[in-house]
Amino acid sequence: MKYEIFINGGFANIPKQYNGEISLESSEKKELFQTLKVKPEASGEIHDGFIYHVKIIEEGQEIRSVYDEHNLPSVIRTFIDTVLSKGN
Amino acid sequence: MCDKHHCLIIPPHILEELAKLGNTSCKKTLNDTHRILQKRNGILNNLLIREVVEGDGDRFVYDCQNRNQQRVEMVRQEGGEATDDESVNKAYVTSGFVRDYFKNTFGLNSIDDNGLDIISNVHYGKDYNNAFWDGDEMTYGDGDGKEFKDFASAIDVVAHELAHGITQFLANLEYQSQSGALNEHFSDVFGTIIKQKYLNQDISEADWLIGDTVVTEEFPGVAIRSMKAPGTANDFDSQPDHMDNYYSGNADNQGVHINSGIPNKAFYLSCLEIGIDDCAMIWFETLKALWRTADFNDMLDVILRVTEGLQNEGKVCDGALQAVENSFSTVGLSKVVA
Ligand SMILES: [Zn+2]
Repeated sequence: MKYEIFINGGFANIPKQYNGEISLESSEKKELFQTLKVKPEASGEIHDGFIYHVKIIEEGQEIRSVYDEHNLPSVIRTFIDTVLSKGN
Repeated sequence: MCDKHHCLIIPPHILEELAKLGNTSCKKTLNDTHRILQKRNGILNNLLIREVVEGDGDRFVYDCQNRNQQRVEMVRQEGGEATDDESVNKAYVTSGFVRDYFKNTFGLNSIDDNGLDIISNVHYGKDYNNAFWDGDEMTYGDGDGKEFKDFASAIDVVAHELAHGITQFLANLEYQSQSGALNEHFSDVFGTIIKQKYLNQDISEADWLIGDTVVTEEFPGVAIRSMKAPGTANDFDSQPDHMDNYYSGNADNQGVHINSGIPNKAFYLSCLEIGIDDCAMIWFETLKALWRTADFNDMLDVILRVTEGLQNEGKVCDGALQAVENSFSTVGLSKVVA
């Protein structure tokens, strides 16, 4: 499964881009797709918060969403942490 | 012309026009209406996880225990003993210093001038390279140790975040494009002023850097931003110091941390001419007179009007108006002559 993660904003405003491929269990993959399909709830104005752009591509299907600090689902945060911990 | 009852039934775009003409009642209503709506949404969203408590400007420091969750454990509150955790103690001391600066200098009673509790969350997330104000409270990461370290320990970072709270209550500048860059600008201005006060520096000793103590030795730069020389603090620093290099892209909420370099440089130049204390008063009074959608030209109009008033009242030095006008002109912002 291909992914593109772009994190910008933040106090320092140093954008970070992570592109690559990752293997996930089918249950994890399903949960990730389902979570990305849900429109994030609107947050109040967060100042200096990160903005997380997440896109995944699997078998021609592409899905993406944008989150902030308060509406980033734990499933997506865990996925981002997994990608970062792999040093991608 | 505009009492509270009139303001409540006047559409926002008319309130905004009246605010631009200096009507403070309309400006306040405009700011309050939006903030109440935001707050109501926030309260509804967070009803089950967060209490809304009225306070006395007391400090509360929470340890997030490296989880991505605020208010995990309250570890120090107003008047409480120091803990073994330096991040906790620093957040407590610095937030108190910022609160006291605004109280002693401008008579402001905490963030909202109504004794709002000052809540700091430290140790947020794992290796979290950031600090933010979320509309109610401040949150600080420990940094990853590779690029950044302990955001809660830096007086300028704490003052910057707390100033976002003050801006929210005084002008509620929208966090995008030029109004957002002004929002960032005011946080950097008071971050800088308070850092110099905290370190007992005068302007000739100051480094005019923001975030110099949160970057590591390995970080490719000396700080996050520079008021003196925007765009030079690190290898990623793209702040312009003149309208000729204005950023017009969409990233960073249309450049809120980027274009703030332009008024930041004007502030620095003004300080060199008339000193930081007169500038502090001018910028604070200007913030009070601004409104949600104010842009750079509105800022210039208001700051010149405010400075002239303060100068006429003898509250700032003679020559302040000329100095501020020159400083903004140097960064490419000049009064349009009709
Ligand atoms: Zn900020």
